[in-house]
Amino acid sequence: MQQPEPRLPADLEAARDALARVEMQVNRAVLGQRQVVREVVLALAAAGHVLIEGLPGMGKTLLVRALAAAVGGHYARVQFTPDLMPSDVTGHAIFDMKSEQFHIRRGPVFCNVLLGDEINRAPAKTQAALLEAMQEQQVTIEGQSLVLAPPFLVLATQNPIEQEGTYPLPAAQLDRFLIKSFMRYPSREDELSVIRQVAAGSVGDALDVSAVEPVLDPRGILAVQRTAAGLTVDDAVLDYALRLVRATRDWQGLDGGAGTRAAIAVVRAARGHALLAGNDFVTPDDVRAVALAVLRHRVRLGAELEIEGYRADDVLTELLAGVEAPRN
Amino acid sequence: MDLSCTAATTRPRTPMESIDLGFALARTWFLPLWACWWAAAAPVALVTLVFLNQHPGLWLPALWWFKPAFEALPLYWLSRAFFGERLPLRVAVRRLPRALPRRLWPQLLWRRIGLTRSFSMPVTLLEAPRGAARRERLRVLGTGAAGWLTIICVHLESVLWLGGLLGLAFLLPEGLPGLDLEAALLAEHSAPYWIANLLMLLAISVMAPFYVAAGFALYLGRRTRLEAWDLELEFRRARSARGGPNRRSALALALVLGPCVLVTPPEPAQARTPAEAREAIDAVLAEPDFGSTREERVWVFVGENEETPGPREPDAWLPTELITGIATVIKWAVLLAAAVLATWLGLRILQEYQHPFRRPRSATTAPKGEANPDTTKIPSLVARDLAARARHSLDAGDARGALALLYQGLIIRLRGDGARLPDSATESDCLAAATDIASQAELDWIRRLVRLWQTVAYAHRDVDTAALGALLDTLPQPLAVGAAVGTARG
Repeated sequence: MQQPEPRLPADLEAARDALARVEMQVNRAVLGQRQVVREVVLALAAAGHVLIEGLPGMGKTLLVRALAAAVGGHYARVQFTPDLMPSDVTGHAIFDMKSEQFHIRRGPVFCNVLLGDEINRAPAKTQAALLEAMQEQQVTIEGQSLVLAPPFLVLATQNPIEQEGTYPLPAAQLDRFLIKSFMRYPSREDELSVIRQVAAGSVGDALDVSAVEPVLDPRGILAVQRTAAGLTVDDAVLDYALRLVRATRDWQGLDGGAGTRAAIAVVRAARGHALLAGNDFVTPDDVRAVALAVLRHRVRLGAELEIEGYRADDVLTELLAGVEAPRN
Repeated sequence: MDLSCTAATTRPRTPMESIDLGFALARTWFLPLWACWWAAAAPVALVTLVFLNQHPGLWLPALWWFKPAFEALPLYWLSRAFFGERLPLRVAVRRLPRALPRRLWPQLLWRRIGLTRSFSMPVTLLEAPRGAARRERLRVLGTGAAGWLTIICVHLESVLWLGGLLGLAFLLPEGLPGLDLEAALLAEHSAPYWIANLLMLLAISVMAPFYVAAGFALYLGRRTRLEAWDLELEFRRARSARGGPNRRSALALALVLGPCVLVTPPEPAQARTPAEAREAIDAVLAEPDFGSTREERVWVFVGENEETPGPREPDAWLPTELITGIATVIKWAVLLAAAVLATWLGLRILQEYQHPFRRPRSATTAPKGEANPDTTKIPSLVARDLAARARHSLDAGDARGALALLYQGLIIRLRGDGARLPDSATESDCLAAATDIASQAELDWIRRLVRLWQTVAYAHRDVDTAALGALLDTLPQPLAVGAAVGTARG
């Protein structure tokens, strides 16, 4: 006899549907990158920032613009360049000759969805300008703390650091990103669809997000995030997430392990993943599904393995296979 | 060969000084020597290129093989120039047949591989001995420095070649086509490979004058030392400084001394005993011409020396045999420990080589038996009658225990059927493993079980006893049997 699934709470169901609609809308604009789109949407549910890495021309900026279009709200974009100043991101105080007073001119960081395009093209000083905003949701200008309106989501793109003219992000900055996603080459069919789409009457190769409909607003995002935060996480799952993170500190092949914020991030991202799956609780499978994306930018690969061409994902995959899952 | 017209001072030199002189000569006459080398090499390079243009991997080795023939002309030119005869290039080229060794083939066949070519070539080319005479001549003149010269020049050639390659690969301005290093080394029919070959040929040609000149200088150095060219030059200089005896004086001297020589019988050399000869030699050597006395002042300690303690007597209570025995035991213990350590290190290295990042440095998994009980520890009695025991637990009010029994029984069954379920396997791994093994009906049952288990284990919900009862009612037979077998194996 088939047992019916337990009924989902109404807000949970609404949140899952909202996320599914966002995912579908983004997938309409970005073809062949379903894994990245899913990770970005779960980060949206978990109220986390996302770092997207990929070679130029892979659709990173398109993805972020499509997401911004799907979730509505105030969207801003900063093109990071080597001469970009921190005040160009956060804002600065200007002196008004008429009133003879200083006025705060707010930078592009005051928005709901901030696209930091090619963030690793700017030097560390400018990259660090986002630190306070990402962690504390506020910006300090001339000693005055200005709170950012929630929701605040940073979606940064970067080229691989092997590319010329890039600066690696500082570890503190990397730790602020909930997940790091890789945009890989799409399949042949998807790539052909992209070319067809652009070639069909488009002038130039402009990124087209006009097909993306806004299916959520800032209030809706906050509701989804509240729902995700309310999912049940059993102690055994918490323990599993913690053991994964602690394992990175002792694992052969890793010179630097993940910190406590990483363990928190794993649980947050796992909540987002569970919500996307339509569950009102988090399972070890959710933890394992997000572990790579959450941990890959928080661990430092050993020099020997780096020279031999291994990547953090290779070591983390082995680590996941070596840490015991809860089975009580 | 006029020793008075040499381009460098004729004096005995150490082998390294000779090589240094050779390099100086090559620097001075680099252009003519280089031109001579190319005059011999260019025709061969072009001819071989016609035949081997489809095999660039053979072209360069072929040219390398002909190096003794290419070096003959620079050596010929240098041997003339050193003694004052600077041949124009055209004349030198015209004399190329004369410059080559009379028997070239041995140089290109069985004498080709050797480290002392730079030294043996001047002997072969300039003195032209043959057979045993050549071997004896080389034995007399031989010096080990020629081998070092070859090794040094090979390294310098490599450095020049590699430097040129890397320069083209990395130092070309942006916009210009760069050199693909991988293709330059491996892709035989690519343009970069040809460029690498040409760079190697250029490096060989640049080093050739230095190699030839240094070998020639080594040859001159050995002959100067063995044949005392410097003394001969000194005698010549001394004679020319005194103006030399005139013919009349010589005639008078001959008239006076001649009868004496004729009257006095020549004293045989063997007339002196060895002792007398040694005394005579010592007397000659004691003369100021063969030595000098020098006075040096040094500080000498004139105080009394402190008494150094003598060897310590072994303690009477510890016999020498015992000390020796203990030392032997310690020695073997240390050796044994070193052997064990070496074996352990070797095994560690092998493990690292196989799995560079497989093992954690320390245990990172949770202790078994607390949060994560091992499924193989289920009492066999329970597993043998899984359904009955689970129902018994359910009737006793332990619905969670009954559900745990079913789930763990499932894992045992899957493992028994050969599914690889490590301790890191999660519920989705179990489902994936079941997909490959179980039938569709079993799979549906397993999905319901896993889902129910997840809601109880992770969602903090009470067990749906109706759903659990339904699971027990429809428990597939293979599961119960499989669980029993799996436990028996475990």
